[in-house]
Amino acid sequence: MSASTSVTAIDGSARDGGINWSAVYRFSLTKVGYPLIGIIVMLTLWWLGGYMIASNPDTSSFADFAPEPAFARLVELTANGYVMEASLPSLERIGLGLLWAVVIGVPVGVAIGLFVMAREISHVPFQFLRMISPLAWMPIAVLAFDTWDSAIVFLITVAAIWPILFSTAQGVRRIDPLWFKVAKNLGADGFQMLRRIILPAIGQDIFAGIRLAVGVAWIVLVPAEYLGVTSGLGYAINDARDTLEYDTLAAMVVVIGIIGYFLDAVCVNLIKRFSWHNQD
Amino acid sequence: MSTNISIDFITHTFKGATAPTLKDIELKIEPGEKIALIGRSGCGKSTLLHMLAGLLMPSEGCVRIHGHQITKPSAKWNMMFQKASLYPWMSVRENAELGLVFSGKKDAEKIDYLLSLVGLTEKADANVQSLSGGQQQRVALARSLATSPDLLLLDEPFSALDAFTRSSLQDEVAEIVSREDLTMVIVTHDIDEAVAMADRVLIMSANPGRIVGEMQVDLPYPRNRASAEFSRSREALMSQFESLVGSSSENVDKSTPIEVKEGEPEDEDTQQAA
Ligand SMILES: Nc1ncnc2c1ncn2[C@@H]1O[C@H](COP(=O)(O)OP(=O)(O)OP(=O)(O)O)[C@@H](O)[C@H]1O
Ligand SMILES: [Mg+2]
Repeated sequence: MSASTSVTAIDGSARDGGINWSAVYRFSLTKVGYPLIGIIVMLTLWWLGGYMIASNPDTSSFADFAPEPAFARLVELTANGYVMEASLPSLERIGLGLLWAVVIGVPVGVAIGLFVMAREISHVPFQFLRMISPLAWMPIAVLAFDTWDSAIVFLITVAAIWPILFSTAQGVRRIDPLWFKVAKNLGADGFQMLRRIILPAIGQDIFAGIRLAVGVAWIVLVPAEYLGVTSGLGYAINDARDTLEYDTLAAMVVVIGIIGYFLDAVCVNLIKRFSWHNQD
Repeated sequence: MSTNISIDFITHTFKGATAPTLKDIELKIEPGEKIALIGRSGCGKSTLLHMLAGLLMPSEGCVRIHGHQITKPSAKWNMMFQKASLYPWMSVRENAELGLVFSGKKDAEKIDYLLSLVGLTEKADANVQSLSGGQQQRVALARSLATSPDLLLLDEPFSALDAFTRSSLQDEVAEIVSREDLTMVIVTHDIDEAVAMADRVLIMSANPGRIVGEMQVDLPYPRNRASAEFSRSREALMSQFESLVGSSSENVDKSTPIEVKEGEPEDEDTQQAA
């Protein structure tokens, strides 16, 4: 979709039916060629690492880490549904954790952004709590929640809430004060101010926060799933390590990376969609 | 349908300030009057306008419209600022319609009418960020008029525009205000703007901000800036302004101003000017 728009945007001649080949070339180079180079470099380094592990007698039992066995395994695990089976519970936990983080983080962030008092009161506690690794909450989470699942969701929420909260607050503070004045003058009540002015104004900030939160949450997820549960990507990794299936382990690492990449891409799209900066 | 405003001995001291920004301002504005408020930067013009809009409460005294004290903003008295301050996530039409959305009285026909009034019918669905400064200010005008205010408050609304756009917008607004029978108060730095738009010009001095003089401008609209009467009014206003406020900023010192009597001397000047 973005391909067609940038091609026509660069040169109007595309509209007359002629194809602007230099634009197509430039586009395919930057959007396809360069990323491809990045992927090839990454795979080469991986392959070199695998080669070194395999040729060293001390580490040759880990040889299955290399790309070929890993990808062979990945294809197999995708086909037999194992990848899906491991990913869905993880995605569900991430989704729930993020949902809670948004439900708590956005309103609190708006309040902190709007009211000096809220900002001053919350400053010390929030900066203090923010610095605690979410994983440090693990023992508390296990005590506080009945199920392993809810403990994991809690850990993800704790990890995800700060970027959302602070990004929201920052967005609110950046709102042009005149926007408030004008809306007030046009008769906006508190709710209308929130719905018509504040939330649209900070949409992109909220999603920028969510993007950061997804990154942190996805990282926290794997160690959190070492905890108690018998499903999810973290469990799959742990399980593969215990059973010495290094090809499965590497395959699951690839799955985690790919899903993470796509979650991030979704966020980037949402940020764009909710951005009002000079759209055309 | 217009507004009768009385400002009763307003004095305002900002929080943390030692001296009052406004002192003992008393003023009556008749329905349908077009007032220009001129004065040096920082003398308190915007502060006074905010009080008329109900966006700021004076520390002493009060503003009354039709005898009712103003305590909060209302779409019935609308303020326009130097910056158009449109909402970039809304189209031109949505911006203009916002006041009606807030009051739950959407009225597409009215918005059509207002957009044609300000010459933006073609741009109704455009992104406001793609408009020129003058067009943006026109949208802001349409937005202000949409809620059918009785009183239009303008805080240097055209100062960011080029001279040609500015003078045509001055004429347009003066014309709309007359046609819709609104009361208008415009704050400006620009003597020409005051003479072009107002039928009464108030002169403010600083430290503390007070109204020290006024002048009537009895010229028909639209005003011909090239006419002899226009030049004469401008000269008269200019000399009155200089004599009351001074051409340099000497009046920064302690305020024991000579122009203690507000009412009388200006009236004489007014007669001369007219
Ligand atoms: N929120 C505020 N807090 C403290 N002081 C303020 C505040 N707003 C304005 N002032 C002070 O009050 C005085 C009058 O300000 P005001 O904005 O009314 O001036 P103005 O006449 O509109 O000036 P300009 O022509 O430059 O817009 C200034 O000295 C300003 O510093
Ligand atoms: Mg001002």
